Amino acid sequence: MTMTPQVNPWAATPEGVRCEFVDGKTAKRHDAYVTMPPGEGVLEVRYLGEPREDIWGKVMSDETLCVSWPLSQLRHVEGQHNLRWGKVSMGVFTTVMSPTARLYVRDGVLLSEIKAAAPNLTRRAPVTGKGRIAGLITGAVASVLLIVFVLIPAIADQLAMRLPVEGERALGDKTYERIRESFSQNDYIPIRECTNDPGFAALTQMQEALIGASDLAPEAVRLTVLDFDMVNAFALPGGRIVVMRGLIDEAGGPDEVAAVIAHEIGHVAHRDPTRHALRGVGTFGVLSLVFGDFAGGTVVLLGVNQLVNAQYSQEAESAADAYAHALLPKVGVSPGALAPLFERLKEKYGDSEGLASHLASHPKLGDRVDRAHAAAVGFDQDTQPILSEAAWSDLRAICD
Amino acid sequence: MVCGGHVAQLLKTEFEGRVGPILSLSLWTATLSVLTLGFYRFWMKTRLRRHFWSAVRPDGTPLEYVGKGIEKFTGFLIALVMLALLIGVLALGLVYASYAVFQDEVEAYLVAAVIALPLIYFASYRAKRYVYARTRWRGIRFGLEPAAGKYAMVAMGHLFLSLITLGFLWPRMTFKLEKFRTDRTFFGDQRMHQGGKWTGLAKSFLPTLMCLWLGLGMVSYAVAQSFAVGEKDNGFDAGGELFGLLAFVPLLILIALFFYLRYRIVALRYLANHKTAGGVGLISRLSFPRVLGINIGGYLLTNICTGLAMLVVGAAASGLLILFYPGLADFGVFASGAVSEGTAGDGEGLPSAGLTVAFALFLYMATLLFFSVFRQTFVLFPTWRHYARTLSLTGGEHLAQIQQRDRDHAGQAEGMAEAFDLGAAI
Repeated sequence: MTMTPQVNPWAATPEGVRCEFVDGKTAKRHDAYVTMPPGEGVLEVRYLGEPREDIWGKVMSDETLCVSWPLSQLRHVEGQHNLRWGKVSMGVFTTVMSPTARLYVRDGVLLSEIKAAAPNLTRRAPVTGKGRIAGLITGAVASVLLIVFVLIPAIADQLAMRLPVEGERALGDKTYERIRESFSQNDYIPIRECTNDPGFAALTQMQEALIGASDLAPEAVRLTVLDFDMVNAFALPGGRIVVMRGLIDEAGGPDEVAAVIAHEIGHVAHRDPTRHALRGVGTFGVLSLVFGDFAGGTVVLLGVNQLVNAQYSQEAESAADAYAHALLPKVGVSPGALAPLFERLKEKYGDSEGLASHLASHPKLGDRVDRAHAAAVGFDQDTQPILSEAAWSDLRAICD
Repeated sequence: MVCGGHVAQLLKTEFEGRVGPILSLSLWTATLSVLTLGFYRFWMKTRLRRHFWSAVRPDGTPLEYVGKGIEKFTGFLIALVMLALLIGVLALGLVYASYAVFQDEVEAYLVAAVIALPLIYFASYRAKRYVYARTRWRGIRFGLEPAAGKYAMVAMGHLFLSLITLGFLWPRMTFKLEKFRTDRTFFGDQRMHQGGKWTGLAKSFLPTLMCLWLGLGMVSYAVAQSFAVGEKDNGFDAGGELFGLLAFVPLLILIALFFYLRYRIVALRYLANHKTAGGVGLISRLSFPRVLGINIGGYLLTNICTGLAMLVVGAAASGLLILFYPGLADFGVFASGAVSEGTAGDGEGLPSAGLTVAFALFLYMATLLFFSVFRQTFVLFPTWRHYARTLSLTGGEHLAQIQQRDRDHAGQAEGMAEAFDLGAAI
């Protein structure tokens, strides 16, 4: 048990302003008396030391210790620049030489004196290891880019090829429901699937004609029309091809719709949507990690947008176009059928990007128009419309 | 003063902070976070912590938080690379396997949760270690011994025990995990100690447990009944009865939540009152009614203020939109909402699809921002204040024997926890 220091009643009242002081070595808080001798540029802190035994074993109890801090080395404790204590300011100071020591000043006069006399109060310790931090940032960015753009696509491609048909269908159905919900203007009712009988019969007729001519199994593709204004069509995993009503409204004839669908069948045949969806699972997981959006709203928003406006790679697009150009002649449609729709859209919307012009604003549209024209050059057999006049008007009314 | 002895000192905790500064600090840091696509969030949390820490003043001396934003950022980067691999590759594999085998994705989420669980405990221990290593009082550092891996394993064991006893051993888990951490916590060179027994928490958990068991009983009864009905096929009456039973479940959940919140507060108080660091002890007078009141009132205020703020932001954004796209004039102040929901239609003089998505994102992020700012101000701040003001230290005279400890580098900061968004508040 240590002894309590006995207070000497005859001791002189110490000189200076009473503050609180900790030395950074023990958790004992001392009542300290602080003076600023003029002209010396130091702050002197006097406090009663802890009782200790000197080298002869005698207990030293009321030993006054004094530390003097050069004013130029005086610092605010970071983040405690302007603390308050009730109505008054409270200063918390430390010094470069003993950065764990603290001086708590509540006296307004002393506080303003210190602030006026100490030149470097707000200077911070220099940042160490800048090189290390820069290296770390570069390394991390490179690794994440590698994971997102190389590793995840590579794995997704492998897995997409191996996913059984039922699994692919289920994945497609999930994404399909998600898209219907997110495009709906009502939170509870997803956008309507158009299944008007005569229209649906015409759609089935077109589907059968195109699939019959392709090398795909009859049940590999399902066509669906959604009651939505967007001029767009897209393929989902498991062979579901969604055509928005806007596209049918905008098309000049059944061949134009068939040409768009043939392109999407190309994507299905190459399993692009599955690959894309799997890639999205990995990529968006990583993205939400990077941006710290745990609620996941960003991911859902971007994810749906990306599914619908799927920007496949340049090769995938060319391959799907080539597939369509090979498929269309087999059903008596010119491979050039894709061009008029695009050209009309371009003319109508110009360069402005309206909500409706998704398809038109697809990059490299000019290239695709050119390619369609080029493919049509060698095509000289008789064309026949893929649907009869009557069936075409049924299809146009599929959402009524 | 008594000759030769010590007077037992009771040190009260003061709290010095006002709503105004907190509101403005969290508002501008949150705005910066959104403007920097979330990258300022590390510095934001650091600033908020400094503010909250220095408001708490045991015996009039403010706590200090000396962490740096850059530490958190680099820690996050390291965790990011590992987790990006894990999430990117593993999530992909799981989703694939789940669809290949079950034609659904629920299984993938389940497996992912089982994998994530120990990681979360691991990360939370790491995060605590970092925060303790950067907290000081009277210039003396706190510290937590490195044991995150062991902690995660122990937690899994306790979780398993709680699961097979249908929640009966949950308070034991609460106590043991707290003891695990407390017994590895240091103030200076003084190791802390968690006293008490887990059975001390059991009584306050009883009402929650009863609710849980009642709910489980009802659900299993309903399941059994529906099987019986399926067999006998006689069941209009039975169906009605089942429906009545199930309608009771949401109410039961509400009651259980109430009791669980009470349990959390009572447990916190019990655990605090049984913590010691050498001769220094803690006394907490946490009040559950106060905490409940703070939460109800705070969240009410948070939601109202978020709603109002979004109305203002939405109207301002609408004004801007109409200025650039006169076609939207019909929607008036709701133009931004119409655009972000895609109900504005299309045609001449209307924003493009890209802008629509950007707008929806903007409104979503703004809502999140305001919610977190107001929650910070109206819920966390008063809770923090109540926690501080009800805490006292006993045996203050023993503080003189506590010596400084060495700095713990705690290299990866809270990287993992940051990535999982643990301790989202502060």
